[in-house]
Amino acid sequence: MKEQILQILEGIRPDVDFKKENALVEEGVIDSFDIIQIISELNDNFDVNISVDDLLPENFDSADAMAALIARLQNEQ
Amino acid sequence: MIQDEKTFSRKYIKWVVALAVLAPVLIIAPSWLLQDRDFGQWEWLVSGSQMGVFSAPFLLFLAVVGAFYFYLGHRQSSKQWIVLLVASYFFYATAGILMLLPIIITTVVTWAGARLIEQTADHYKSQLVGKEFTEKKQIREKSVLRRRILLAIVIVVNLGILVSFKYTNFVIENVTAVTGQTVEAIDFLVPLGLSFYTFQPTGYLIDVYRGKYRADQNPVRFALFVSYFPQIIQGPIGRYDKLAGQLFQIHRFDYERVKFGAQRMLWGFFKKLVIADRVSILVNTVFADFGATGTASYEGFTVFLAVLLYGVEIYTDFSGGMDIVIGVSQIFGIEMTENFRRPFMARSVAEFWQRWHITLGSWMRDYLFYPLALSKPFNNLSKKLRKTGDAYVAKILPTCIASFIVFFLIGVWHGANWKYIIYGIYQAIFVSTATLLEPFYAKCRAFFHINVERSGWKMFQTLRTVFLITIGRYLSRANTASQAFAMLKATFSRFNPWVFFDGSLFNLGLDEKNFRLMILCILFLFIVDFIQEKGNTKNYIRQQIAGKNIVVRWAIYLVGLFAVIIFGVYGSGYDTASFIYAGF
Amino acid sequence: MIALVCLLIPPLILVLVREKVNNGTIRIGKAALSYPIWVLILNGLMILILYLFFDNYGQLFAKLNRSRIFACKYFALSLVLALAEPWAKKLVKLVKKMYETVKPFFGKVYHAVETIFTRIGETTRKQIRTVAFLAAAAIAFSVCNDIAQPIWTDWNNYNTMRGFYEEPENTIETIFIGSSVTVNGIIPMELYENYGICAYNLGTVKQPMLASYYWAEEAYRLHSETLTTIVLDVSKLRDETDEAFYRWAIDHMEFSEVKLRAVQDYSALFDEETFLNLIPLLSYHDRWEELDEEDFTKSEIKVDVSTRGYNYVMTKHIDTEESYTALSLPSSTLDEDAEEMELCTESLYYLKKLISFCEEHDIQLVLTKVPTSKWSSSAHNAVQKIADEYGLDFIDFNYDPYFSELGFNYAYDFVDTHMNYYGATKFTNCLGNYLITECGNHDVRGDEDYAFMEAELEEYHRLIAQVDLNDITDPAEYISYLFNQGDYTIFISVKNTASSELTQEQRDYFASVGLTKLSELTYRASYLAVIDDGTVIVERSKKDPGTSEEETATEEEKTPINDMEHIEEIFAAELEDDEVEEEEESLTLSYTGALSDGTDYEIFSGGRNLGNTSSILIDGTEYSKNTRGLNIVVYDNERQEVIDQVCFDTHASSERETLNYAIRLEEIKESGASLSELSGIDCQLYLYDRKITQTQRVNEIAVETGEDDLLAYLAAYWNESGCEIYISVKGEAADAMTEDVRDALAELGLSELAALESGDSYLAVAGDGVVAIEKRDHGDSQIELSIGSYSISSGGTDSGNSSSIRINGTEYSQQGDGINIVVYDTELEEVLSQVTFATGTVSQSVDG
Repeated sequence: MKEQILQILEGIRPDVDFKKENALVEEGVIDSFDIIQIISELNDNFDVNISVDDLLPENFDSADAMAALIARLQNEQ
Repeated sequence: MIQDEKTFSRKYIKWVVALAVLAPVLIIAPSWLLQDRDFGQWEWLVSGSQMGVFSAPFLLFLAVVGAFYFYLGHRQSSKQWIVLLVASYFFYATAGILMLLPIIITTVVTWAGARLIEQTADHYKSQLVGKEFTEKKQIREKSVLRRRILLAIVIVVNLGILVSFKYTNFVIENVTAVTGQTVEAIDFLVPLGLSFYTFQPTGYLIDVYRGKYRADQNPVRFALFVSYFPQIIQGPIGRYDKLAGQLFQIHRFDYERVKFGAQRMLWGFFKKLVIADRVSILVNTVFADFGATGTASYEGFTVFLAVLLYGVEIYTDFSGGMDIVIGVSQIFGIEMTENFRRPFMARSVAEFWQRWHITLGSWMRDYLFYPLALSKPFNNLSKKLRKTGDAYVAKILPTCIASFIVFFLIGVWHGANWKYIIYGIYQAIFVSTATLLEPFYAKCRAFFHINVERSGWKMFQTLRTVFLITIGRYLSRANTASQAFAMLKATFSRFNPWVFFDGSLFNLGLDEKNFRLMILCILFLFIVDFIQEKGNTKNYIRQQIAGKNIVVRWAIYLVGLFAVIIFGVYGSGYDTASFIYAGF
Repeated sequence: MIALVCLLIPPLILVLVREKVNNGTIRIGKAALSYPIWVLILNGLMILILYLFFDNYGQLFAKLNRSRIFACKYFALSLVLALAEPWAKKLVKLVKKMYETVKPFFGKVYHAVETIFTRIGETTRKQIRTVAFLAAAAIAFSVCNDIAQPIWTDWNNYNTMRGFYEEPENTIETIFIGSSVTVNGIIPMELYENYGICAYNLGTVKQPMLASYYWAEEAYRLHSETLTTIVLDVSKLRDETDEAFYRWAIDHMEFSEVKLRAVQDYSALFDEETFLNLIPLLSYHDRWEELDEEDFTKSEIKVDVSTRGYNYVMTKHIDTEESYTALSLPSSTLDEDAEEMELCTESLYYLKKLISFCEEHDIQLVLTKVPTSKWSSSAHNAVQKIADEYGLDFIDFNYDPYFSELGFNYAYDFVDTHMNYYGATKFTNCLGNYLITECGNHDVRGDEDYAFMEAELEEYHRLIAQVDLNDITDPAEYISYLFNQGDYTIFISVKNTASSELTQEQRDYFASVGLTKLSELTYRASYLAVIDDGTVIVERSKKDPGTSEEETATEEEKTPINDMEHIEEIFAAELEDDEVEEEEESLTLSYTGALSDGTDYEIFSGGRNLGNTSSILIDGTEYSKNTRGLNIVVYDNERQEVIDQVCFDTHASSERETLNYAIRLEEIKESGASLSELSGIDCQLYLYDRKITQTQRVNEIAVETGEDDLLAYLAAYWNESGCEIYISVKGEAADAMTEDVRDALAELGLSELAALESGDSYLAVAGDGVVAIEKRDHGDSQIELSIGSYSISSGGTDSGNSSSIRINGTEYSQQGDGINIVVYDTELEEVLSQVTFATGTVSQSVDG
């Protein structure tokens, strides 16, 4: 799953090294437009429904965090 | 307490009905009561003038509050925060006791609303136990619906108060213009800070609705959260999870922290009294010229310079106020969010809005933009577009629309005037199209062989941003949209670079010495900003100064203090000419 | 020769000693090579020292040759330096050694301080630091505060305000409050000298009534035991003042409860913050733009207590106006029916407060108005009403009886609309009389508690020295007066020539006081002298080169102008002339020196052919009158200021005209000189005086003679000297003339007028008791007469029915039916009276 996520992320922001970065939101590496794009891609690809309530920095600060979020949402369904 | 569904539903309906019935009263009452009319024997309720932050009485007020506060802090008293609450209500009541009504309404309604929403959520969570999957889904949907109703009512009440004060006359004017029947405009005694202090509790409410944290159990404590005096007039808009905890902690007198806070305040005073108030003299002269009927005498660079300086004025005025607010809070040990981050160094309009009035931007983003962009309608739109056209556009367009809406609202929030609507749209266009047109821009850049890393390009971007923002300022400062366009026309109708050399810039309300002083101070400001940008840590400059030896430190503090006293724009202006004795 | 010794020997010694010290032996070759260099270095160093510390480096060679003392000093210093150089290195080593021994000591001290500091503990250190910082800030604030507060030295404001607080408490009996007319009008020292009254003048420029009231309170606060009278000039009751003048009056009041209330009041008036107005730095912080030297050297300004609030001015109105016509004429008749003027509400409010205050503290309040052209009957009546209402005396010097009692003259008792010293003395003495007789003021002369007034009186006399000097016409007496008074520095510089009319007596006097060269002054010689407190510091003169006593103007007349034929030579000569000018400058005598208080001065003198100039520069400012004769500038060493600048034109006359215009006018009148014999100021004084008398005369005549009394009118003006009477008949003028009238007219000499018949045209010119011209026409023609600047025409009933009397083109005839008369004053060149006697219709009688 993580590979898929990395692919998606790099497609949206090719200039960011998502393997290394772990404060994407905290340090403003990705902006709100990027986040929306990421969310819509993740929703599509993993068939989850990431809502506004999940929009916390800790969920999007790194590719790992995003993977954890998706896993949790998939479990809840 | 776990109740059964029926009892809860009954209670719930009672709450909703009560709120729904009260809502209209609560919305209309403040604006109806606070009209500018003869109050007769009740005059004492509304008489008074709001204590300004840049005044001597405020400093005295701070000293008294500080004394009480730190005394209680020394005694480790858990009641310390009450001092702040009393101070905050006192501070706001200097405008008139009745002016407290809207705040109190907002406080009570929001607190109650949050509690009710939480109770609803708790009840339905307890109902989830031991149910089937489909039933769980039904329960969840009911929970959401019921919580949404409560949320809606409270938001309507809070926003309703705001709208009734701010936009009634706008509606009246336009109705008059459209139907031809004149309805008289109403003069309101608008409570100061109304546009600001509505955001904070609303954000809290939405957070509770989303289950981010538990509602506050104590209405009195919550009252402090809503009315905390340093931020009540102009922000910054805080978040409950970051702010509340600090407000209720016990803070002791910390020498270094208080020192830094005082220094921050001094910097704020410098920006406001020395720069902002001085610049405003020039800006007002030029704008007044266009406001009056008849031909204006300024054109070309003079007008543009005035608007550019207005940008500096509003920056120093607003951020100077923020410095005072954050400085005061720092003295009390409460850390507030920064509202400005060197906006003049932004390299795009979008970035500008991330550096200017940051808390408003982030509030809008978290509570308006994200919900909007991730909502079902927008999702559906995105899906539809993907079927029809360009995949890139499909992804981006809905977001752009959401962004457009947000900026439009920001524009409208500034004031009830067509010019603000245009202003909002203007900003929205740049922000929302930036990402949309990014591929196109990339192609242009490649065509011109522009290297984005080079500092020349970055400089260009910065200047371009300043230029675009300045154009926007025509709208925000002029009295009406038509005045703004008249000024724009005057600016571009004449190319007159000689005004920089022939001394005509010294006739705009500031004489030569004052004009030069102003330029000097602005340059100094930008240098300080630049240093801050490079050393982007908390209290950076203050730490740097504290590191120097005592003579240098004291020299800097004393020079700063006396610069404000001597060059500040206050008091009745001294005019040598009036001392020249002329005859009898 | 001496110069060469001073310049060349020390370097030689230096080189020799250097060689000895450094190398043990003297290597002649080396020494010889380095010698020229050392000459330059050593003397260069000497010049630098002279420049930096003695300001006296020019013309070194000449000086060395001239002054032996200077040469010795130069040689000595040069020698010291010469000897020091070789041992310089050793000296440096020695100093370094000393430093090394001392350094550890300082290190120990520093350490000790540091340990004490660290032992004190973090918190206490922070507290000390905070307190120290606040103290530093307070000091800086107080310094800036002093700089920010403007002081106003004009109109004696600084002396008035500061001087008041230097007076001992409970001594002042009377205070004067009011605007600038008070400041210039009351001389408290005169009140003391002539009446023994201890008074103080608290007037300030455009003093608003608010400030007057608070100064009354302030005066009472400090002199409650002795203050009995307050005299208020009511000028400021009429209008409001600029905010600036409230500050002018109140800023320098010492801080007290009175000042606090005063500041509160005027702050409220102008919607300002009291707090800001109490702290100069906060209310004047905008002055950063205009700070100048004076702001930083305020503490050096001395307070002149002897003024006691009076602004000493000697300028005379008539000196500053181009013509006497610019001076206004007083009219002293009060129109009692004039409608009362509406006075300023704010002023009345504070007037009432003042009245209550005076009543409460048993002080007599007197209202007064100085004479001025800007007052009016309606203003007077308004004030009089208030005065009557509260039982106050209102002494208005604009109207009789006070007006005549004062006896002032606008020309020389006033400078613009304010009184100068002469006017002020008159005014003060009038009031002094009143204060003694009506207000019960005491004579404190001889009282021990008031001994300080005697010292102030002495200083006052020095202040007004120029008054006495103005009366002196003889230059010898002038200098003698100054010698007697003592402690003056006198500068004398001749321009052009000053010898011709010096009398032997004067020359003897000059010789007797040490001014020998002055006593031997010759035609067109330059001359300068500086005398300090009776001692002649310097006296220089230079005789005129060559030319004989009789000047031949023919030389200059011969050279034609714009000579195109020789223009090349002339132009070349002009270019060379620039050099000549420089030479000329050195022709003038000059001297540079310093006064006893350190002020520098420069004095130049040039006779007719030696520069033709006079210049006396004190601290850079030019004071010489720079006109022909003896230019004298007097500097008071005690007061450290110039007190008089005059010029005695002793080429034209051995004495000058007195500068006391009152006396001068007397002399002019006594001498009986006619207008054509007078010039300059004398002429203006004469004309102005005449104008006053003529105006009065016209008013008198108007009152005495009735409207219809032709004979009385003619009789009144007939013998007035300098008046011309022009008569012109229009229409019917004879019908109502009685026999008595005709007889009387014939007796005067107006035979034709006496014989006037119905319908005749008639014109006449008369003056000084004589009929110059008379023309009558019985027929139907108009008659005309035109001579010089006037032209008259007359037309009887059937001869055009017109009348015209034009003087310098302007029509003055009233052109009424009957006899039109215009009386013209030839000296004033003004029409005094224009009337018409309708002798065609109403019968005339002798008594009217």
